[in-house]
Amino acid sequence: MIDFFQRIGAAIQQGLDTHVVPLLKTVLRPLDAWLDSAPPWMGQACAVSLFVLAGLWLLTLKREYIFQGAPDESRWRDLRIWAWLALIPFIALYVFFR
Amino acid sequence: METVQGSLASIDYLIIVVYMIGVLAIGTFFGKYVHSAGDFFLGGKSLPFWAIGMSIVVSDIGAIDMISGAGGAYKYGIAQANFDWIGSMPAMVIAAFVFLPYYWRAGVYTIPEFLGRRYNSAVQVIQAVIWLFFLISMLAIMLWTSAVFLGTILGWDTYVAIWVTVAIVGIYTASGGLTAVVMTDVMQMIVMFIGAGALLVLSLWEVGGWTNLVTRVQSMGDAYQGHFTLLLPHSANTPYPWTGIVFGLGIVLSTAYFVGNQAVVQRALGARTEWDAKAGMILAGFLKLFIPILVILPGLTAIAIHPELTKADEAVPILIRDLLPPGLTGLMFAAFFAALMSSVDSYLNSTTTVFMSDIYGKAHRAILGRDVSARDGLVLGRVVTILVILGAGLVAPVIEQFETIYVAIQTLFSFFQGPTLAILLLGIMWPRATRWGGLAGLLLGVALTTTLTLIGDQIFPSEDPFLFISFWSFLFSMAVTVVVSLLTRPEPPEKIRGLVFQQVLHDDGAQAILQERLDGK
Repeated sequence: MIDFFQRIGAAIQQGLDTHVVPLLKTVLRPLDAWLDSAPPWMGQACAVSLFVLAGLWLLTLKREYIFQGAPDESRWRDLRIWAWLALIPFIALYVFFR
Repeated sequence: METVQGSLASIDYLIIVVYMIGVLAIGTFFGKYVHSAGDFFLGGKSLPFWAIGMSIVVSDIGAIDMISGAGGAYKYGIAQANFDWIGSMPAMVIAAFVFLPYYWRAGVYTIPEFLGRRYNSAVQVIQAVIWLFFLISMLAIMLWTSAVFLGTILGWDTYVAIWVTVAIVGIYTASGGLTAVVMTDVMQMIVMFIGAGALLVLSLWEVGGWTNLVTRVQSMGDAYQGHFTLLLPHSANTPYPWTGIVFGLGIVLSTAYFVGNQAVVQRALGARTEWDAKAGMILAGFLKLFIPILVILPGLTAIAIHPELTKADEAVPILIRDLLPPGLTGLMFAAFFAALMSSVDSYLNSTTTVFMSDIYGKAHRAILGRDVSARDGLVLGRVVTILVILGAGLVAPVIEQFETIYVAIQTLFSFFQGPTLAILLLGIMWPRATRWGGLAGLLLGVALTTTLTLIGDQIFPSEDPFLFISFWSFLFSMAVTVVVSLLTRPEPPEKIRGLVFQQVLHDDGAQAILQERLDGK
């Protein structure tokens, strides 16, 4: 039984190696070449962008959605401020550790 | 593995024993507040944000992570920190403000239950079975690997370590349910931060501070020049090139983890208000900032103090032996137990919840035509909790017979991460997503992940390209879900009302429906 499944597995692997790998290589090689030649700051910019975009998106949310369920709308309960205070140290880390 | 058994003083053993008794006492104390299934599985929806935040963080870090995190830093450098930095906060913002409010307002117990409401029963059952398999396997693996590690360095018998953990965690989790899990997690996080903080301060003191650490490590040769670089080049021969980190980890895997992991989300579902659920997740994101500082920095200091280590995972045990005085050594080991128990209790509680909600509860409804009563749910929940932890304890030694089982289960589970995120995201963001689109996106996405895993080393540039595989499988599942949804009949508006993001933001009627569901009307 194990031998049967091993033969099936080997056949699948051979089929993938023969037909799928060359196709995907054709698609992915130019992308790899472009990413290899990308300047070092690009990775840093993409990483920082993830944090900044998450924070900016929060600013587009309605106020009542942010405070939903809160006992009052005092400033310290504004979760947009919480999120930005939490995001800033992360952004600083990705700017500092290039 | 290095042993510190000989360097443990009586005060260290006393601290470890007092800590264990304290956890047991706090955990069982909360049992008196549990009167129904809702109390047991969702803490009676009474959890405050600070407890949720601390519990999420500590559940995410196991005893082995504390060792392997430092070992990874010793080997690869600070790039290891990406898993807690870019691999947490952006995803946690999305989880807090997009997903948690919907889970919370929908009044569900589990992620599969939410997917069942949004798509269909097939998606719910597939997801539940996957999660049960993963959670039970991980319970056994955590028990075994941690017991082996603690047994090795403390000189304890492995089976004693397993059954002590099973007994303590089993008693307080079965007694107090989610509330006990979360409140003991709070205590465990404090112990973990103090223990790991002491090791960090003393190891940094030993190397003469941060500046000296950087100078000493970088002067050790070319192999160490990248040890203080977070984002490595795309073609770097490591598992962590920046492209994989940003797109695979930052966008897909971390989001899938924080919005789709039952053990994480269940804490937020037990929040006393929607605001507490969101605030708890944001607080957890902030606390995650400190995990690499506490766990990974000691690994970097070990390079300067002990550059001769052949096994990177020995970094922390050796630092403990060399640097910590009696008392602090005991506290550090209490921190290891805290990390172990906080992960085991979370997985245990989540396993029981998924089983009771998505398998037993669904079968009960299908056969008898009614829901499990709150009282029966509580009794069965406790029984299943005990059976699961006993089962995990019995199965744990089997792990020794299959060394690759941990890798195999992690790999198998990763097959579902990208596709699950795709259908969750479209299910919440896009009203046109249909049940057939969700099912096709899940199944074909898993098929693509399996295919890419078989040929990944031939088409991706990095070593162990799991980050790239998750990213492409996520995109593919999104595409499949969109195409199949557009080809099939739209879901009736009344079915998805209140389960789609834009509707809830702008539709007062949908808000009212959610409130009714929440009130149980």
